Amino acid sequence: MFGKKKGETEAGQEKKGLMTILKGVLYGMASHGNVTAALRTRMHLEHLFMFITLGDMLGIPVLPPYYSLRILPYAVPNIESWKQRVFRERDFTDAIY
Amino acid sequence: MNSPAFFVLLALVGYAIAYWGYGKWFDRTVWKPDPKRTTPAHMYTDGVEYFPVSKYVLWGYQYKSIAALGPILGPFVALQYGWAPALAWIILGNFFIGWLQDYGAIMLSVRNQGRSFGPITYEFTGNTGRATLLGFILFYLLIISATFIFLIARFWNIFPGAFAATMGIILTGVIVGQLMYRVRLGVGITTLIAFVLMIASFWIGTLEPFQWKVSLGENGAYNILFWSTLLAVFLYLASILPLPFFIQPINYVSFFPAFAAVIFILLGALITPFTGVTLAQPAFKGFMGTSGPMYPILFVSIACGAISGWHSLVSSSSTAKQLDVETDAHPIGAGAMLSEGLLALASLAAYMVLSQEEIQALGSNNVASWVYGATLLTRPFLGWMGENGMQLFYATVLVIFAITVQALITRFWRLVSAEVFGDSILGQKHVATLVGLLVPLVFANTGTWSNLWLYFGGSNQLLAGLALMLITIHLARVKEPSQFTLVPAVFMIVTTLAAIAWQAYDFYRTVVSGGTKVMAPWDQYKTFALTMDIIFIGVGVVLFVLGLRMALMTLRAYRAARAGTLGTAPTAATGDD
Amino acid sequence: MAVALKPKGLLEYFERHPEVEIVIFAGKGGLGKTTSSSSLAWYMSQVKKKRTLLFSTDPQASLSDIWEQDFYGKGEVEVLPNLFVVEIDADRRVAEYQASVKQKIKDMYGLDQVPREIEEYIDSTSAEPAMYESATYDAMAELVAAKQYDIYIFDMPPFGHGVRMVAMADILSKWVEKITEARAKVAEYDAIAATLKGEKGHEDAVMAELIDIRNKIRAFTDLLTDRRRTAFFMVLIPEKMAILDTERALQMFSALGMEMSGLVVNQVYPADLLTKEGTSDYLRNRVQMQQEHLRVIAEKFGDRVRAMVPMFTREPKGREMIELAARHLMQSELMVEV
Repeated sequence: MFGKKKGETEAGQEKKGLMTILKGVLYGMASHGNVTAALRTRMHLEHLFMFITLGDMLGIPVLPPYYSLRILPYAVPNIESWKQRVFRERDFTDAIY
Repeated sequence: MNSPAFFVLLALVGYAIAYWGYGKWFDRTVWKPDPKRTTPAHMYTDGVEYFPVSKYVLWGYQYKSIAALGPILGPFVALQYGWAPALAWIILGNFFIGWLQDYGAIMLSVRNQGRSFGPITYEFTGNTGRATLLGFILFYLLIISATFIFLIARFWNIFPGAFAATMGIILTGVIVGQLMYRVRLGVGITTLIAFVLMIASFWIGTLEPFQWKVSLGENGAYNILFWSTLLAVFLYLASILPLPFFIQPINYVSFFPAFAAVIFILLGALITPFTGVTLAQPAFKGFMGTSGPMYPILFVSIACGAISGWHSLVSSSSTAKQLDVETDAHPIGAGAMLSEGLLALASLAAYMVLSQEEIQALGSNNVASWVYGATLLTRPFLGWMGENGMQLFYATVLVIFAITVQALITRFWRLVSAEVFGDSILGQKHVATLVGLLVPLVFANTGTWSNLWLYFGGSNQLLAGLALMLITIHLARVKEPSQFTLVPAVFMIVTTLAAIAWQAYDFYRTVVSGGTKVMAPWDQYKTFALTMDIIFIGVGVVLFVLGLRMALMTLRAYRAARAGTLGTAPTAATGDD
Repeated sequence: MAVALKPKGLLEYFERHPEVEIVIFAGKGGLGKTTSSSSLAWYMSQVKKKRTLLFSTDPQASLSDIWEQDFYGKGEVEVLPNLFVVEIDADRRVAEYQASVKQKIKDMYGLDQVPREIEEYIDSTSAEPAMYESATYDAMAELVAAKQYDIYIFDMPPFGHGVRMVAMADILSKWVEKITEARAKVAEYDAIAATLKGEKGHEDAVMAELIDIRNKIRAFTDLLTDRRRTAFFMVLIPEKMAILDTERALQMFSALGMEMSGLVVNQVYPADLLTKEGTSDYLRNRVQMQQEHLRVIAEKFGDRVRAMVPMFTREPKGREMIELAARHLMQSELMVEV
């Protein structure tokens, strides 16, 4: 409630601003956790996908590279963040919510 | 003076001072948040775990994640000393300790590359520290699970119709999941459908044919066993089925009635001067309560309203990774926690208006007092729902509050088990889930509610103390004032260790005098009851030992941090400019 | 003396299996595989008037050698009316393919240069032997998918009897099924997050690509495993090692749940050389040895032997020799007696 109040004064007096805040808060309460959970599951699945297609890049030999190369161009922008995510330390306390 | 609204307003003023007065000063003196400093959300943006989120969204998320059964039921246990001590603890505890922890946990993680408690504990106290924390959390999860399973089963048993309504809401969730993800219907229309279905669920719950009363054994002695087993089956499914098609949409739909209930009781408490609902409980009943002396019991009985360790796990696990700018941390961490305090106060108000006689008349069902209190508070504007309707509504809301959190906890237990037991059989998905349900199931059926609650509160508050210690160590390491968190940390650790010790001693005392604390009907099986008593003593001892060990290790790390010998300060690595 | 084996020739097989579109000749190198596939191609195109494609991946360019014309790496070349020959250069194909991937990356992101690390990865794939097999396989699948010919005759590379090709088809389809499945799940959760955020989901370009690959592989694999439309012939000669190899190949085939359409025995000395005058002792010994091996072949493989082609007096090279060999292959005349 306090956070909301403070936000109101900051975001200006416009009605639209208030609506945005309310929508944000409501979204945060009802959906944000679900969205991040979905994104996280998606991330694990994408890791699996990237492993079977481009595992070679991490030094994990996966058969066969020929068709992987066709996928490679689409993956280019994600490769860095993928590697980052795969190698990031993830502890049990990161798994709450 | 005779209506609870006055005290809620008093707390509001207190919290306002905590937020704008003490809070701002504390910010300037200790954390010194810098809007220009790059947060982990920007530094490691990956669109999955790390990405900047608006403070309004994060506030909503944080509030939703921390508001659970704690603030609702905790005040009831504290009522044994009268409402005045409970009120004082909710106001002062939150003022000096509660929000500092939630906010500090976010900042601690933000200033440490968005890392969560596991890695931070490892950095400060080494592998033994992390392992101890892991072990502690395992026990903590078992105790929470037992408490929640007990409560849900009790509520289903007390309020016939609540089970049908709960199932209706779960079914609504499943349908919503299908509509949103398979049929690809928009969120708006799906939510509308969910509203209709949920209203229908509540209505069905009030109908005679759906008021399922169970009576197993003499006077329904085995009812709890029946309901809790049924619940375990549900939780098992929730842990195993893919999130988006089961627990996630259930979470989504149940948010709405739960949130409505919170608004209702807050409103109900605030308008008491106009509705004429007055205080019926004595302000002070005495230093010695049914569960033990006020110190330390009061401080572990009200968990989430004043301070809660669970919050620090949430704060450091995901909120910190999505913080846009450092200056957002205060409104999110402190703002959400103080708002949570208000919820605890509103719940306390619901108990304050019930008379001693009313509560006594409930007998072993007194755990449901909140439902009657909330009904009393909101009758002036919800009266059209009928007495049964209101009771059913609040009872079901409580159940779904507990169920959604418990589903997450069971899942989390599974993940922690996989971490601890690795490839051994106990780390296996189904086995871990079964263990994480069966042990709490046994606890829930044998341990009485207040015993479970005190172990839960104890371990939860102890975790809060440890979180405050981690925050303090960090502050000492970066040469910022650390006494404002050190004092609360030490207070929390000492108090909770004392409470856990008291509770274990209470079991011991009972066993030695030839009695048992095991709940009926299980107390008639002498050997089994004795075994359970001993196990409960063991749980207390383990919690105490693990907690003490963590406390000593963090204290040592604190001394090293003060002396400047605890690794290098991480601030340089976050690259502020 | 009784007749132990009298193959009827491949013609009989093709008359009984009119739907065959793909013929694969497998077997070790130097056993006359290229001669057999060329002969069949000649017969199908010239006698049966079918539009025929003869395909080889042999890096030794044995097709160019036998037809006395250079096809290597030149695409589809028409040597006779209705008869087209392809001899692919797998090295070049892989190199071109890698270049096209790099180009695509540059085009997609408007880059002047492929990021170093990614370029290195693409280049490193050349080191994989599977890369060449896949390239060959892909070339075959592509040709068949284009449906330009009535019949495709593949002269398989010597490695692993060509059985490997079938095994690879299996691995490839499983692999592509697996990643398509994984990708579909990713897309599903993507859509869930989008729905919750109230956003519209977006088309997944990777999925489109995967489905394309899957369809190609699946179509070819289905064709290869369809006994009505695909014929496998194993080529051997009457020698102990070749017989053992053939036995092993047959076992591998049945392990894959497939059946060999038949065997072609090449380089058979006519038995009457034994009775003819003027046969040198050396040759006589060889013929005698062959006869023993032929009897083993008859005993072990029996009816599965579809044709026996004689040893020619000169190297089977040039169109006339191919034509001659074709007559022997299609209407086998030799027999084994005991």
